[in-house]
Amino acid sequence: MEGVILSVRELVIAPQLGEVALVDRVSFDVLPASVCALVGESGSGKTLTSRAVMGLLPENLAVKSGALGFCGEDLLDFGPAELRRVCGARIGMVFQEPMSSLNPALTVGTQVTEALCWHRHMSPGDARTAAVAMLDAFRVPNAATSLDRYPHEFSGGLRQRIMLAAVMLLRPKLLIADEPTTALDAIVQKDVLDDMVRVAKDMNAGVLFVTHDLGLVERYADQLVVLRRGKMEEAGPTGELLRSPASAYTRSLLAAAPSKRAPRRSTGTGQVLLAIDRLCVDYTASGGFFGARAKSFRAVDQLSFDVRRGEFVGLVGESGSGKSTTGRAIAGLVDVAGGQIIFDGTNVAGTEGPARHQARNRIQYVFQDPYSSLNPRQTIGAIVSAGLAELPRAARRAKVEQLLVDVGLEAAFADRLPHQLSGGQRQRVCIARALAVDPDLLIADEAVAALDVTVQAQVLDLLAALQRRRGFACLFISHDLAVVRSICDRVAIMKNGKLEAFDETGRVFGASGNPYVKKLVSAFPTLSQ
Amino acid sequence: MTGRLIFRKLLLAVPTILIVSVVVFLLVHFVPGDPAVLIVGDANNSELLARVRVELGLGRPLIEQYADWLGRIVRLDFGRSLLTQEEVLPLVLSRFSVTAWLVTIATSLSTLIAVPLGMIAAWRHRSRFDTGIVLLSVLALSVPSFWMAIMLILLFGVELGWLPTMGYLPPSAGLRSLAFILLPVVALTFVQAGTVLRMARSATLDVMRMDYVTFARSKGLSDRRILFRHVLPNAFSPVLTIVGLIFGNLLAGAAIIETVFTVPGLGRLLVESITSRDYPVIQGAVLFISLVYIAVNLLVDLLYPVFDPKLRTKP
Repeated sequence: MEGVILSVRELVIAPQLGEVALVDRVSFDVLPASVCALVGESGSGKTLTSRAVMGLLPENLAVKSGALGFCGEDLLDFGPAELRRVCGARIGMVFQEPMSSLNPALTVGTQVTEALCWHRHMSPGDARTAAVAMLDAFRVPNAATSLDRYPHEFSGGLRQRIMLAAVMLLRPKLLIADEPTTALDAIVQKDVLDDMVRVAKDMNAGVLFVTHDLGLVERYADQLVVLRRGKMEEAGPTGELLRSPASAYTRSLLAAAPSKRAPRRSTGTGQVLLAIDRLCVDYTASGGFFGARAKSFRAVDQLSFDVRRGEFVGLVGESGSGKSTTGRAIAGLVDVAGGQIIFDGTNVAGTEGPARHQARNRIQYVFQDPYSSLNPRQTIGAIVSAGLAELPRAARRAKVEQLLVDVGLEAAFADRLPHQLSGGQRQRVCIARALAVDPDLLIADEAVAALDVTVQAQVLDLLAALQRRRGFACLFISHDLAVVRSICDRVAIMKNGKLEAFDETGRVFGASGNPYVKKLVSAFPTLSQ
Repeated sequence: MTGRLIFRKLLLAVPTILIVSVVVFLLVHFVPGDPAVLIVGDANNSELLARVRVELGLGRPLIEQYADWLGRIVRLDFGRSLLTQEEVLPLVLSRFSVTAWLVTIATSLSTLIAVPLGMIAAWRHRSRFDTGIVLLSVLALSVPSFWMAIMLILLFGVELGWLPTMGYLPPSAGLRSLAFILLPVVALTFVQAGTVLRMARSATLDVMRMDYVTFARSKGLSDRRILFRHVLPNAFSPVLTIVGLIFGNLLAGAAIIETVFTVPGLGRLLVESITSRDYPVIQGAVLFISLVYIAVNLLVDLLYPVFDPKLRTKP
């Protein structure tokens, strides 16, 4: 078809030595100056599809059949040398992790200009001039001097801009962006994506945008392809498809989107359980052995808020805002530099001994990453029963099984090992472990951030249901405003270690007078309908 | 910045050296056997023994003896060999120069051979070449160095008669000296190469899994450019650590190889002085070895920033 940049037809990807297709007969088109979104949860095959275009499939996988039409030619007919001429020059790709996608040993300049010198045989001087212009277009400050610096000297958002500049410098026909801003904060994410789409459309390039976030899809994509377990659920223009999705799966995805969830009914009792009073936490960079000055950095600065019994309080902020540090300080995992943490009437800040120990038992923590917060060598039963040492064996086993059933797993899971569980199941185990000692306060530190939307929705429902039954309070630390809005009674918003706002959820999101809060709320992608 | 770094590292080495010196000093005094008997050569001549003991200061409190000994060491007076009456420092230095010569050649050779082979093996992960390289490195790691040395002597020295089987000539002797060091160097290289090969291969495999290598591939660069520009600088740091450790270890004593080939190196000196209870030589050699070890590690530490720009900026 004339004018189509990428035309994927009946693409099948399977293991070299296997028949089970991981991507099964997927077809879609990418048009010039338009954004086509490839949406799905983990395991849907969206990343594999995008990698197949570049010939970057893992070595044990292969394209079994189908066609990858690019400007009238089939990329699958190309040998390695021909593919190399197209990759980079006419198809550019940016990756998810800004922290690991730039080579730490090479200067930014080398990495931005090398493809230009390679494909266009440009002299290093001309390439540099072009690079400065492109870095300017992506609003990298001090573009000229940036070229001589190394990636570790830049923030995640800037590294992502640098990667985009390196790719767009060759004026590719097609840009493949694989979750390009998933690792970034909401405000940075919006700025980077705005620039990416603007530059791509200026160049008349097509964008294949791989994402799991329907909010972003609605904001940026013209076309939408929904994938599930390697198969196409449906495809079409974004607006129409989101308004009236044909497939049940798309509808469930939309319903699971945190912004669409019904708010949790509040069960707060009004009695204060935890009061934080002018809390300060410092991080000290240790200076070594001989006289090097120890540098300290104030991560939490004069922070005050409170959590009532049976209440969900959201603690929100960008990365580096000090929200996780606050949670760790409350749990007694980091030292406190000043202020008070009054838990159930007793100040536990900076203390050790029985009071702190007791408080530690009554405050439990659920971590972000369900993959690294469970000991891979212990059975689920051993993990969940870690806090139940005083119970006799049989009673312990019974309690563990009851807990596993409570969090929606089966009693038989007690004998399994973490690697046999999915991400969502693991996070359920983490919750069961935390609830084993009947805590008064649960600190959930980005507890659902690593999960797919539908799984995320299930885990949030579970938390709300368990809370109704057991009556614990929860400090819910998150960067995801939509999730916080759906589950929290009150919200504290932090920036650079300081409190920006603390009020009832509706009031903070509705009509906050605080300019930072307004900016944060407006940057966050939400589904309109 | 670099000057300050070196100064700080040197300062950190002082306590290490002091601890080594205490251990070296005490070791000699707690092992069975009486140095006085050794010097006199007659355990029954108690009058003479007593006189020698007084002369050596063996009867005084240990702490006094230690202070005394350390004072002399600081003035670079390592004493004289009990056996040959040679001064210890020049003896250790001349023997060390032989070892350093052998080991430096062997380390350079093994690095130059093993690093590229390991990287190519990783690049062609799971190919026949890769399997061959892995087998070779396992072989190199599991063959004892003395056996390797003996086989080399049997083949090239005895059967073929191409090379001398033992002995050593200094490099000043020209080409002829090369014939003497060839077999020891080959033996040392082979033993080291196994470790370096494994390290280079696994470090390269790790780096190749990084996102920035995929990004470099997506730019359509050639394999060679990706391997040398993007992979090598990142994979070299762990290799450097291992090479530094092996280099230090071998400088400290390639004793087995030196003994088999009768090369008059530092390792052999140490072995000889231990068997003959030549305490001043043992003390001098061990102290010197620990100094060399510290120096090599310092050198490696200073080389890291060359490969990792994160370490280059302000500490």
